[in-house]
Amino acid sequence: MELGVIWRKRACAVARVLLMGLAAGACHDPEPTLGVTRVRSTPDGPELHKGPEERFSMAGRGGGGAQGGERDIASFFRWEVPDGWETRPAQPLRLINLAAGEVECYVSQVSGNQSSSNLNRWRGQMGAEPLSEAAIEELLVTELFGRPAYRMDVDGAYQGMSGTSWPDARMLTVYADFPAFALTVKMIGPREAVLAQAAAFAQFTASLGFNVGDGAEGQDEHAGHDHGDEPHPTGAAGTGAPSSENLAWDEPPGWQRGAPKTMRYVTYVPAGQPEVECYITLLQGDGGGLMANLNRWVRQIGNPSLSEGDVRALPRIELLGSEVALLESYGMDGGVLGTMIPLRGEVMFIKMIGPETGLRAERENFIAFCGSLRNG
Amino acid sequence: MSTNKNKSGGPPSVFGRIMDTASSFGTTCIILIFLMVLTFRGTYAQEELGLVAAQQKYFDSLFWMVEVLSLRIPMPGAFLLLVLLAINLICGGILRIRRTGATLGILITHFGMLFLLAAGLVSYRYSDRGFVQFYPGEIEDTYTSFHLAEIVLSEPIGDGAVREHLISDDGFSSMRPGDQATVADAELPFELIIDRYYPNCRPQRDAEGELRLDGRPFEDMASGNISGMIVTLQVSGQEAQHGVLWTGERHPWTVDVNGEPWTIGLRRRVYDLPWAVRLEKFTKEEHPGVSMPRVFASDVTRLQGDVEQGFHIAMNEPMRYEGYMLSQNNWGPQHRPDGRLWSMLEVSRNPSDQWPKYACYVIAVGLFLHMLRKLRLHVKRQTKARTA
Repeated sequence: MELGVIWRKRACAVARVLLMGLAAGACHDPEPTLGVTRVRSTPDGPELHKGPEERFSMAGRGGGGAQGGERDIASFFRWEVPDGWETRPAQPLRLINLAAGEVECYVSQVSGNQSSSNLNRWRGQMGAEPLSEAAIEELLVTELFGRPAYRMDVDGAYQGMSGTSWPDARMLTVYADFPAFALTVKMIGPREAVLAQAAAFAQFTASLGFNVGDGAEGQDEHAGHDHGDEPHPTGAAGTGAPSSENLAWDEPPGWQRGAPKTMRYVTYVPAGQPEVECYITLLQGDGGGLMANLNRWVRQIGNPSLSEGDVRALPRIELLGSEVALLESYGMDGGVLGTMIPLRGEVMFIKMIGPETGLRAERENFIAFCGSLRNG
Repeated sequence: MSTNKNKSGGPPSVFGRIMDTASSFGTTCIILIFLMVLTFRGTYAQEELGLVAAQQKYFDSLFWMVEVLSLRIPMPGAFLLLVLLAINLICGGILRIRRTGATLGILITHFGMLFLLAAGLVSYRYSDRGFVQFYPGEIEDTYTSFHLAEIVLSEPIGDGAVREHLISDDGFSSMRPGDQATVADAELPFELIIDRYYPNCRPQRDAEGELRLDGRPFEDMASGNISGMIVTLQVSGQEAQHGVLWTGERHPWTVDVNGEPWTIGLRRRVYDLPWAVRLEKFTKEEHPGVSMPRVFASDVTRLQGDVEQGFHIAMNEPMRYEGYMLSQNNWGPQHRPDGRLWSMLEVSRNPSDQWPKYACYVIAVGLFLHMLRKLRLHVKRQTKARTA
């Protein structure tokens, strides 16, 4: 038999074997039944009856941080309660919780950069079909907290996951993305009742804002030397704790001041690293504590929480004459370098966020920036 | 060697044709070409996919897909190719080869190669790999898998002890969205339904306060993937109980099974060591002026009953005992080196750990014998030519 024919027959036979294997490998059982693969005994059984917060170290997960962090976030807001509405106690993820009869209206924080999945999930609760990405983008028609926001009105049979249900309901949603999270205002209830509150909903949404000092807008003109007209808290004067009075620092080489942003004392962007931002935030009170805030930061980038041992083991850097913990963490959503220090009556956070490569490149500048902070 | 006709001189039988293909040198060449392409492709893919994902896609698989001009074409994976190579070796290199003194060396070499392939199969099917992490003075008698997971159904058996019924992730790690699996066994007084499996996720509460899993894209770095699942427990005569399991959880989910508190959890696979290991000392020294480690070693004691046996484990100096190998893998905390240090030892159990070495000896003997024969023939021919 000619050599070419032999080779062709061999190749065909090999191809048949490969195709048979492919067919076998392509079989997928969508409903398998699994049995126990092995059994072992251990004298130390697990701890029983642990709730989700303990099981998953979830205190505040999905709500923007530990309880302390949530209280701080809520204290950032200002709003006007429409006539006839009542204020209800905040719940773990309802930062502002209001009601008008059967109708519920609340402000909540959710994971950032997931507008499509969040909006479609809520449509699913109303029995409505999901929208395409293009259709979602067409909902970007309003504003919330001064940012572009989606507005979605859905009619349907509402089935909430906690058991609440209305066969003829309406849901109004306004949704705005921020760099690391999203804020949403939702109103849900029987359709006619929600329609009756539509104007009040618009009034409430428009009244929402951030609670910052009047001097924040003028910081650009003061080159980082003071807060402008922001009142300084009293109470801890004379304790020897550092303060934010006449705060000064040395700008790291190549760092450029960024545009003023609400809740930020100052923002910097390193030259050549447009996705990296370093900023200082000042909060009244204790800010929720070191552990709560560090864990909020690591969870924002998708990493598991730190244990107390992990926090104690963090390296220390110098800040305003004290040694403070430096968090450096990288995850699937970028990374964070951050630290905090209690001041007189308030707490200062210094944070740098962005992609890992940029953060690593600016790490030493960040540490030098923190070390250069001083009063006056 | 091929036959075109059967013994009676008629057309070759089906079995004959199969044997011809299975034993042909052409088949060997085709398989080796595919293996060469796969080796290059799989090695480069480690950079984009990560080590574990590249290994699973190219080297542990029967097939993988390559996209050419929008067409997805199946290509054979290393597992399939090595099975075919073994069949080709057996048929062509053992069964059909002329068995004479002239081919003795080749036969021995082929046996050595088959032994090497067998070592790979045993390692793939029966080996375990994990880690032990402890501080000096601590004792461990289990090790934890780096990447594999298991569902743990803990049955109380009194005095705080539990019997763990384990379901390995071989059955559920390939579940796709929309798939549903059922855990059912004669040993279990209930059924556990896996409603949804996530290869990488984080638990979240939504605005209604309900617990859910937030699915994430699969990470290149395998250690960044934390799997989870939504499950429903169905105990006869009781209402269904719904829960969330997550590999990163600190505690399992407690459920009521006919009045008894069982727990259901998801964790990285835990294996028992046949003895315990105590870390006596961890030593880390760096070269002066740099952070490159010079010495990086653990002194451990193996504990079994009243027997205590000391071992020194350092880089390239593992501890080998009863089929287990413990090697220095890592240490920490690395950002606070002045603090108390823990040591991480990699533990691997591989019944065929030494087989590749023995296979190489066999191959070397076979090649040496064949070379000797060829040398003898060459010298004989040279001598004949000179005397002619």
